[in-house]
Amino acid sequence: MHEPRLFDTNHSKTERRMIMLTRRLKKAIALAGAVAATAAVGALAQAGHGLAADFTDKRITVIIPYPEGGGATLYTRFWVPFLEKYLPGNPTLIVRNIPGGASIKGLNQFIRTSKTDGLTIANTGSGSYFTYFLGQKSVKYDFADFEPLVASPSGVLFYVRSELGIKTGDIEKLRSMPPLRHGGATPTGAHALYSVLFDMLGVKYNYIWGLTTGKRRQAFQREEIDVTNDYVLSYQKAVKPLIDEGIAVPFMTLGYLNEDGQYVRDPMLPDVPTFLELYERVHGEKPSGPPWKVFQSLFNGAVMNPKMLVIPRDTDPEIKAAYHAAMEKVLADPIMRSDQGRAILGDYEQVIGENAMNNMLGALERDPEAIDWLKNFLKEKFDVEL
Amino acid sequence: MESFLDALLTLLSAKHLFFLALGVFLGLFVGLLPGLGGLAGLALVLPFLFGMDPGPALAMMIGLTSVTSTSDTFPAVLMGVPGTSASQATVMDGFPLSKQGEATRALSAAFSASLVGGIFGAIVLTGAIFIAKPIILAIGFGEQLMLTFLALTMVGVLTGTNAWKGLASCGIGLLIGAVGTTAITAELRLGFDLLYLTDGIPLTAIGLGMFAMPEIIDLLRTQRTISESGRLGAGWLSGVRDMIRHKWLVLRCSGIGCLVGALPGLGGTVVDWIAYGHVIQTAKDTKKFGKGDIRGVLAPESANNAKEGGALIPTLLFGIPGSASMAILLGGMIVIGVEPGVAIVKYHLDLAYVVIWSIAVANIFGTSASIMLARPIALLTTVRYVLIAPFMIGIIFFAAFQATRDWGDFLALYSIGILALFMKRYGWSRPALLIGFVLSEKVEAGIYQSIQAYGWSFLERPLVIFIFALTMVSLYGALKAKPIKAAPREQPVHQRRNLGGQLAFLAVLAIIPAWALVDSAARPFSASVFPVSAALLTLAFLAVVLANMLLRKEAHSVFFNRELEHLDQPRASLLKYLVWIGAMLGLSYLIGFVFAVFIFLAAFLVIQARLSLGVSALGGAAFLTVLALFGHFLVLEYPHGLLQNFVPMPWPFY
Repeated sequence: MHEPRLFDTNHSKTERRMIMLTRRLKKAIALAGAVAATAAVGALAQAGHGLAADFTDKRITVIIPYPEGGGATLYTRFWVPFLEKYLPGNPTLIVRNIPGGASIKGLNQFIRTSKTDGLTIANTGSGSYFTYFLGQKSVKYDFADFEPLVASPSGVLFYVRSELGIKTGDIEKLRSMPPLRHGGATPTGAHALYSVLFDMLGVKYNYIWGLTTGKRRQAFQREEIDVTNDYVLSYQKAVKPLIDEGIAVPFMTLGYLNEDGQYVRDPMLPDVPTFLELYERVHGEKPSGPPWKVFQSLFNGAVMNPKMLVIPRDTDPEIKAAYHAAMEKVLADPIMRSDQGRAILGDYEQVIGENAMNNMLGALERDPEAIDWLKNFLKEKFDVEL
Repeated sequence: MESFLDALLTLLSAKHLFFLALGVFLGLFVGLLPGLGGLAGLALVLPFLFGMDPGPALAMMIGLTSVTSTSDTFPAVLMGVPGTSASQATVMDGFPLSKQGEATRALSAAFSASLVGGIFGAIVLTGAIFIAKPIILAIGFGEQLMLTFLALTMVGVLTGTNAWKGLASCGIGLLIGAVGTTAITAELRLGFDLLYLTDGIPLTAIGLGMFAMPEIIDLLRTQRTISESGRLGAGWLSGVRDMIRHKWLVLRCSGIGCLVGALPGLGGTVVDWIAYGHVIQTAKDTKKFGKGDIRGVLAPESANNAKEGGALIPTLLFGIPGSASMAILLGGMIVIGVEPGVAIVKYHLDLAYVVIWSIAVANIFGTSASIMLARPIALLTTVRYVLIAPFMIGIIFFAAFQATRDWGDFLALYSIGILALFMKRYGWSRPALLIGFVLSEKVEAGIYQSIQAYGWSFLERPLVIFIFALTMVSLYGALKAKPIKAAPREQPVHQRRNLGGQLAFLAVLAIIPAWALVDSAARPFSASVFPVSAALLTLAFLAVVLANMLLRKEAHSVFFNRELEHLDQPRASLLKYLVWIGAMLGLSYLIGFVFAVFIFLAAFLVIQARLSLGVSALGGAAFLTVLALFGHFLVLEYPHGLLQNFVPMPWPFY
C-alpha cells in the first residue's frame, strides 16, 4: 500500500488539507515513536545488550540514479570512502549506477528494494526533485519517504556571450534584445524553472533542446547559443576560462537562501546580482503570483538541495543515528577543507541532520496551484504534456 | 621539446610505470569481458584517485582507456561477440577468419593494427593540443548533422546482397533508435509506457543481440568447433606481416579514427563501422569481405584505437567529454586537481605530455601482452563448440545486464537476438540496422538543432557544403562498390523456394514501422516528424521487397534463405536452443541469475555435450566462481529472482 501522494491533483482542497494533516500527525507519531525507540535502544545498549548499529562485514549499496560519467557519480563517490571510514564496523559501500528517466528509475528501485536495515542508501539530484514536483506518472517515490544524510547546495550562474555587449546584470539591455538562443536538456528538468524566470524578467528566448551540459558549453563557444547556465561549482573549471578569454560575461545567479530564510547573493559569486534583484529592478516590486510560487518551490531543489545522500525515512532509528553521527564526523575530516573537497563541494556549507531534514520537508510543502500553473506554462510554451 | 622528453622520463619512473601497468592490466581485463569497457574500468578506479598524485593517477586512467579496444578484439574475433561496442565491425571478418582456423593470424593482425592506431592517436594529440581548437569549434550543429549523413552512407556498402532489404533494415534501426524519451517534448515515444524504455534500448543489448546470439546458436546447430577444420593455422607473425602489407590502409583508418574521435557529433560507437565501410569502398576486390578478409579486421581495429587519442583532444582542450568514459576521465582529472581546458596547455603542459606518452606506452604494453596471449587463447576455436556455447550464453546475458542492470536488459537481448536470427537466416543486413540505430538520435537531434539555431541557412555554411560533397563522394563509392553480382541462380540461398517463412518475416518487420505510425498519431509535430518519416520510408522499402518477392519467378537476390545452404549436412532445430535460453531466463526470474546460470550450464553440458554429471557441475561451479570474483572485485550485481525476495541470501546470491 502506498500512501496518497502529496500533490495528487485529483484531490480537492479539503482532501489535500486532510492528507497534509494526517501526514503531519503521522510525522509527529513517528517522531514520538522514534524518540521512544531511541530511548529504549539507548537503555538496552547501556544495559549491555549491544544493540547499537554495527556494520562489520556488511555491504551497503549506494544507488546513483544517474549514469557513470557525470557529476552525481563524482559527488557520491566522493563521500563513499569517508562513510566507510566513519560508519561503525567499517562496512563496504558498493556503488550502483541505475540511470534512467531522469533518475526516476533508480529512485523507484531504491524505494522498492530498501529495507529498514540501512543497507541501501541513494543519491538524489535536482532532476529527481523536478520530476517529482511535476508529478510524472512513473514516479513511484515520495520525497517525504527519504531522510537526507547530507544536502549539498550549489548555486546556478547564467552567462551570456560577450559580443551581445551586455554587462553583468544589465537587464534592460537584455530585455531589448531579439530572442536569445538558450540551450537545455529537456523542458521538464531545471530549464522548466529557468524559462519561467526569463519570462518573469521579460527576456525573449528560443530554447534548443537536447543539449546536455557538455554539448551546451560547446555550442556556447561556437556562438550557436547566446545564453547558458552552469552550476557555480563548475565556475572555476568551465566558466572562468571563458570569461578570461573574453567570450563570456556572467549575467546573474539564482541566489542563495541564507539561514534567516532570505534570498541573498551567491556566497561563491558575491559580485553577480541575483534573479530577485534584477526582477525588482525591472518591476519595482517584489514578485508575486503563481510564477513566484514556482520559484519558491523549485528553488530548494535547484539550489539548496540539488545533490543529496538519503536513506529511507523508516530505517531503524539506531541505524539512522549511526549514519547521522558518521556524517558529522565526515564533515570534521580534513578532506572537507582540502582542494579535492572544495573541487566537489565548493565553499557551500554542507547541511546535515535535522537542518537537512527540515529544509527538505519545507521544500515539499508547496502550493498545488503553482504546479498547475507550471504545467499549463510548459504546455503552452513547449507543447509538453504532463 | 625538452619538457616533452622530460615527461617521458617522468613516466618511466617506477611509480608511474607501476600505475600505468596497473591501468593497462585493468583495461585489458575489462575490454576482454563483453559488456564491460573503459567506462566500467574507470568507474572502478575513480574512488582510489582521491589522494593520489596527478602524474601516476593520470597514467593509470590513460593506460586503462587506451587498451580496452585492443583486448576487446579477443571475443570479437574468436567468438563473434564484440567485447565492447568499438569492435562490432571487427566481428564481420574476424570471426569468419577464426572459422577458417586463422584466429591467431587475425588476432595478431588486429593487435598490430591497434598498436599503430594507438601510437598514431598519440602523435596527433601531440600536435593537436596546440592547433585543434579552431577546427573543433568550426564543427557546429549543421556540420555535425552532415557528418552524421556521411556516416549513414556507410550503410550503402553494408546492405548485404539486396540493397532494398539493406535500406529497410537501416530504416528499422532508425525506428528502434527512436524509442525512448524525446528531448524536445519529454514524452516517451514508442515505449509502451515502460519505464525500462525511457532511455531507449541499450546499445549493448542491440550489439550482442544482433551479432553474438545468432552466431552462438548457428554454430551450435551446424559445427563441432569454431575452426571448421578443427585446427589452428598460421602463427602470429603472419598477422603482423598482413598489417605491414596493408600499412597505408592502417594509417588511413587511424586518421579516420582520430578524426571521428575528436570531432563532436559522431562519437566512438560508429568509428569501427566507418572504417569498415571505408575499406570496402576503397578496395578493388571486395569479394571476400564478410567472409574473412584480413583488411576487414585491420581497418576497424586501427581506427578504434586511434579514436582514443582523438577523443582526448576535446577532453583536454575544452574540458568537454566526447564520450561517457571521457566524462569519467574528466571527473577523475578534477579529483586529482587537474582542471582540463585551455589551462592544461598553458600551465600543465607537462601533464598533457604525460597523457600522450601514457597512450603510447600503454599501447605498447597492451599489444605485446595481447600478441603473446593470441595463440594460446586462439586454441579455444579448436575446442568442441558445445562445450563453449553455454558459457558464451552465460557471458552475453551477464554482459547485457551490465548495461542498465534491469531485467529488461535480458528481455531486450533475447528478443533482439531472435529478430537477428531471422534477419541472418533471410538475408537482412544486421550492420545496416545497427548503424541506423546508432545514428538515429543524431539525425533527429541534428536536423532539429540546426534549424533551431540557424533556420535553413545552415545549408549555406561552407563546411556544411564541404562535408555534403564528401557525403556525395562516399555515396558514389558505395554505389560503385556494389558487391559481387554473382549470379543468384548459382547460389542455393537465393532460390525461390520455401517462400512462406520469408514472407512471414517480412510481415513481422512491417509491424515495427506500422506501430511507429500508430504511436506517432497523437503526438505533437516536433515529436512525430522523425519517426513518421522513417516509418514511411521503411514501409516503402519493404513494399519494394514484397513486390519483388511476389513478382519474380526465378532465383534472385531478393530471395534469401540460409537454410537452403548445405542441405546435405544435418542440423539441429533452431527452436531447441531458443528454448534452452528461454528456460534459463525463466529460471533466473524464479531463483536469480546466479543459481539459474549454474543449473543451465550443468544441464546443458550433461544433455547437449554428454558430459558426466560431476564434470558438468564442476563447469557450472567454475563459472559461478568467476561470476562471484568479478562481482566482488568489479563490484557488480546480478539479477535477482523471486526466491531472493522471500529468502535472504548471502552475497553474491542475494
